[in-house]
Amino acid sequence: MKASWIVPGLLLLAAGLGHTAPEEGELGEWLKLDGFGTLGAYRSDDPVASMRPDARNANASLRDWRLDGDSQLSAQLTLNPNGALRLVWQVLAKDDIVLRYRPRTEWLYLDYEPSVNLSVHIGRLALPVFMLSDTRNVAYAQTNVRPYSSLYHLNPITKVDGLGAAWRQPLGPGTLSLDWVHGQAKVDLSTGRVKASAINALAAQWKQGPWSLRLGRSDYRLDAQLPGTLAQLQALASGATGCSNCASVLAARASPQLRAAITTAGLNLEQGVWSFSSEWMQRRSDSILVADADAWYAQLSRRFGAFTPFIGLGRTRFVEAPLGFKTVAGAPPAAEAANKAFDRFLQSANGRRSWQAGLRWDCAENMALKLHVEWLKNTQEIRLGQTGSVSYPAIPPIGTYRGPAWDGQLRVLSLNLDFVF
Amino acid sequence: MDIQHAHSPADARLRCRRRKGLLSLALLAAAVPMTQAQAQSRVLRVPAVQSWSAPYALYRDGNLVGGINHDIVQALAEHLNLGLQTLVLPRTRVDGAVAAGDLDLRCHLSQDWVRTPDTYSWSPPLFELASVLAGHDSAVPVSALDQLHRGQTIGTVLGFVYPGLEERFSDGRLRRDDTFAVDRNLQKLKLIRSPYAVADTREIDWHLRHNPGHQFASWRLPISRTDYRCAIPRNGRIEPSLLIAGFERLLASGQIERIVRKYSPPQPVLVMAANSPVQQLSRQQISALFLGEALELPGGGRPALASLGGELRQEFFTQVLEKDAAQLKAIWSRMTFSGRGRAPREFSTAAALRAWLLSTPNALAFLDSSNLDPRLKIVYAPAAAAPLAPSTPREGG
Repeated sequence: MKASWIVPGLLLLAAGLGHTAPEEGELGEWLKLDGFGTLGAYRSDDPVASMRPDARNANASLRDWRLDGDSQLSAQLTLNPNGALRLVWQVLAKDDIVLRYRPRTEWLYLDYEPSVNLSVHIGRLALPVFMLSDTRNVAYAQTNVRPYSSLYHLNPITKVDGLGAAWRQPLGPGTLSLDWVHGQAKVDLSTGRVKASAINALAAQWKQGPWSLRLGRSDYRLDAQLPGTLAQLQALASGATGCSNCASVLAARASPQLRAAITTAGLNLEQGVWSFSSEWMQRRSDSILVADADAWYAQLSRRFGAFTPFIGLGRTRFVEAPLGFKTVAGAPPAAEAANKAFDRFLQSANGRRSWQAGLRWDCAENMALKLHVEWLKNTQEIRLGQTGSVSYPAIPPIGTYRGPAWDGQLRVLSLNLDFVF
Repeated sequence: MDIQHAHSPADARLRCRRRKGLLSLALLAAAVPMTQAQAQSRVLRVPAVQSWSAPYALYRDGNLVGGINHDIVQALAEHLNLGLQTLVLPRTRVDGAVAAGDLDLRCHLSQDWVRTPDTYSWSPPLFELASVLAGHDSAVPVSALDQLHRGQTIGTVLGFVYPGLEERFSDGRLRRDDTFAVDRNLQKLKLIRSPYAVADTREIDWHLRHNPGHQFASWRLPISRTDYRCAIPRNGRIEPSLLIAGFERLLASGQIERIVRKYSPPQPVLVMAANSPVQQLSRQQISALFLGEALELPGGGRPALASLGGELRQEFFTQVLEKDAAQLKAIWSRMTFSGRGRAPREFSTAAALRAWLLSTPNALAFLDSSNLDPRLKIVYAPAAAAPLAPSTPREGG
């Protein structure tokens, strides 16, 4: 827990320094420093299942208050901010399962605007998958404490090293903008690494007055270098559970070299004091290592001066088809049960529903205090184990847990202070 | 001397306080004798110029009872524990009163407006004043003084000096049409006795707020900008350094700003350099530019946007962008951190913003109309808001 106090301490320091940052004079003409951060505390109420705000957080709350979930500090340096050619470097320090609090380069790219409507960029770029992909860490810019995990946790690849272009053109009564990115990425996990050798993403957004509609499509060629997971699949394929077709099924459906695609649609409406936003996504792949899933969320908020209460609902549903493991004739009933359990487990059947409610209070210039309550309920499986934003232990034969069973529900209370400078 | 003594409630309070003070002094007289000169030196004598108008001066029954000028000298007197004596004078008699040693302080003044600035010690600049040319709805809009035909009459105030126009008045290109007070000058424009008038932006704003159906056209042409100061005649009875120190403390405490805001709420205007090809922008165009929904100025070119901090910004957000500060900050944060837009630069002083506007191509920013400068032009001005809530005494002297 000691390390979890480092970022909050730095955050308070940064919040103070932010107000003294120079904004005028010659330096400001060619160099611009911006930053954002969050000082967050959260607590989950369940004794069996734990929760972490970001699937990449190292720790999770199991009935304890934690400060290392959403807490973060980021600085962005822009060279030649008003010119046609500029350099943007964003550094983020946030608890991470591999890097812990070490600052990492979130973005670093050269941006060139040959015309007002077109910009091209090269370097480390944000991957435009979702509506909030560009600002998923900038909690101040969002009403909620964090993007909906029902969608955003289904794509851990948030940035790519490559090329991009953005084009914007008035169209009819609104404006159409297209964002395209091509590149590669790698995501380090505690159990290995997922390499994306080719990513293509295209997003189209049409905005007219208070309306904004967005469609997105991203395609991935992935290599899952996960020794532990692959060893477990190998054990299944070897017939250790009396499975007669595991080798062929897994060869066909659990390839570590895989292709995946994410399709999204989003809607945002800001009408006076009311705001409504909703997103839907579909994830498909040719390997169970990235299980097929559908997800959506919807959120409604209303401003009352400095206060903005909001409510939201989100859902994730895994739709991976059963693998159809068969047990050899004469094997004990336990073997058949084990094969069924593994089949279900490999479908990643941890779909869930989440209800959210909260209050944003713009308590000072550049600062927002947010109180947020989330009820999570697993709607598919509650006994096979899961590791992610919600984690709970697996009972045999998947795991070894023999304690009290999880009832499939948990509640999380968050209190966050978001700021920009 | 044509000198009248004010009888405002504030003066009544001062007299009451003074009476109590005299009683105390009488009790102490035996112990601490006080000379007549010492007692006189504790009274601050200031003029109330009859041609002043709201929001700088509010008169009731011929007495100055409120307004920016009134409140500033009253705040100074209270701060320095001085009595206050207000002498209501025609503009033409003020210099004579100074020469005769009858005044200790003159406010609402600029060094450009007096013939002999060296005869005064000057306060620090308290805030900015801008004069603009305004026109009747039926008058031809003017975006440069050269567009006015030779001999065009301009509504002016008797005895007032207009640094941006004096040369044209003296060589006959323009003609003065004097009235004796600012509000009369503005009323005259309504009657189209002069199709154009020159006046201070706060005075015009006050006039529009309190005169529905005013028939002022929405365009304004910046004529001059100067600093509002107070001047301390060198032959006055109060030590200049004492008054200057008092002004500096009032400034530092924010009291001057509060007084100005009490009578004159911020009036955001969208401005560009006077040589910009952009003429006028609509509210929708400005909103699209500041919200990152439009990337190009009408006619082409990427705009460089900026904003001024403080209360003015809130006014601009509400009046023009129809958003509150938190919404705007969130939108601009998204633009900044997504790298897909450029949030407006923020300046803390009008002077720095003006310098940036003049040196940056396609620069567009909002500032208070009192910060206007002849090198800038207004591309959008929100309509005047409703009158201030508190009831106000009659304008004019």
